[in-house]
Amino acid sequence: MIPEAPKPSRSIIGEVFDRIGKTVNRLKHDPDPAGPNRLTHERPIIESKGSLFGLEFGLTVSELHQIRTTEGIELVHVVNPDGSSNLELVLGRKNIGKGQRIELQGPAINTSYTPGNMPVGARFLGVGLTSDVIDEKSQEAVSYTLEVKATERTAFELASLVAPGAVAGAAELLSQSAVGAVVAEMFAGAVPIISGVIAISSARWAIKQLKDPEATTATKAFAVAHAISDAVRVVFPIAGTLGNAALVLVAAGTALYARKKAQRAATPPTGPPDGQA
Amino acid sequence: MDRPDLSPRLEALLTDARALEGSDLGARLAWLEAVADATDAAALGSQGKAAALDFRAALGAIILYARGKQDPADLPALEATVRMFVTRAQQATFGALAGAYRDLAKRAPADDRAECAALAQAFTEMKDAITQGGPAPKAALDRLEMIRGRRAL
Repeated sequence: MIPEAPKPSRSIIGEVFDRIGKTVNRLKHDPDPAGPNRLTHERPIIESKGSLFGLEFGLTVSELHQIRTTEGIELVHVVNPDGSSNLELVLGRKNIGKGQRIELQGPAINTSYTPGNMPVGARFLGVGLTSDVIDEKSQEAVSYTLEVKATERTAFELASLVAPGAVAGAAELLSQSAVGAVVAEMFAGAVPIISGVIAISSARWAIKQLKDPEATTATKAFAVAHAISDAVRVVFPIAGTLGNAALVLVAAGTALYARKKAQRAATPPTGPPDGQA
Repeated sequence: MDRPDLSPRLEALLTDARALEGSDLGARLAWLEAVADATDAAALGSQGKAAALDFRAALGAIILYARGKQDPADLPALEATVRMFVTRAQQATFGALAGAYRDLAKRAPADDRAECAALAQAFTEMKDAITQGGPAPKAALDRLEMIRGRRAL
C-alpha cells in the first residue's frame, strides 16, 4: 500500500483568504445579490463648485465604473482626487429625454483631506441633472452631474427668510419675473400636503374617539368613516370632499331624527283624543 | 360627542386652492405662506414640524431669488431647490399618514380595519415612490380607488 502523500500545509491566513475568495466569487456572480441594486464606483476628473440660495451647486465630470446596474436605489463610492472617499445614495432617477436624467440624491457621508475643508461632512438630500456615455461591454462611463446639495442648516437659513411681510415684498419684486412656473410647481405640491395633514388630524381624532369609553358607537363609526374619507381625499381631492359632505349630511340627518324623536317624546300629544277625530 | 371641525384653516386653504389656480403670483405666494403656517400649527409632532420647515425653506428660496438680481439663468437652480424641499415635505407628510392609519387599523372596528390597513400600505408605497422620484404606484392608487368605490365617495 502506497502511503498517501501529505497535503501541503497551509497557514491559517491562507485558508481564511481562500474562504474569502470563494465567497467573493460567489457574490460576484450572484444573479440576485443582497445590498443595493446599483453599485457604482466614481472618480471625479473635474470639479467646480459655487453657491446660490445658500446651497452648494457643483458641476462634476467623472469616470464611472458600474459594478451592479439593476434598477433601484444606487450606492455610489466616490474616490476624490485628493484620495478621500464619499459614500452617496441615489434614491431614484427620472429620464427627461435627450439622454438627460434628474436624480434624487439621498444621504451621503463625505470625507476630505484638503486643508481648510471639514474632514467629515454630510448631505441630507440633493437634486442632480446628469447624463453619461456608457461603454456597454466594460460597464464604464464618463458622466457629468450638475447638482444642488442642502444641509439642515440650509433649510433653517432659508426658512428664516419667511418673516412677516417678506412674501408680499417678494411678490411685488417678482411681478415682471418668469418665476411663475416655480411657484406653480410649489402650489401643486402643497395640495396633497394640506389634505394629508387634515387626514392625519382626522385619523388621530378617530383613534381618540375609539379609546374614549364614553363615546357612542355611532360617534366612533362616524369618526372612522371621516378619517377614511379624508385619506381618500389626499389622492382624489374632489371625491373625498363630496364624501365628507355626504357624511356630514348623514350625521346631520341622524341628529335631526334623534332630536325630533326626543321632542316627540317630551311634547304631550295635541288634538282630540284618540277615536274622537 | 360630535366631531369638532378639526382643521378649519386647512379646509379653507384646500378650498381656496381650486379658486387660486388661475390667480396672480402675489395671491399664490400668500396662500403658500398660509399653508406653511397652518402645517406648523397643526400639532402633528416632529413630522409636521419637518414638513413646515421644508415648505418655508422652499418659500425662502423664492424670496431670496426675488431680492437678488433675478437672473433667468438662476431659475433652473431655483426650481431644483424648490422641488427638493417640497419633495421632502411630501415625504414627511406621507410618512406621517402611513403611521396614523397604521395606528387606526389597530383600534378600528373589525369592519373598517382592513381598509385602514390598506390605506397605511398605500401611503407607505406612495412615500417610497416619492423618495425614488417616481409617480404614485398603480397598486396604491388601485387600493384607494377600491376604497372609494366601496364607500361610494
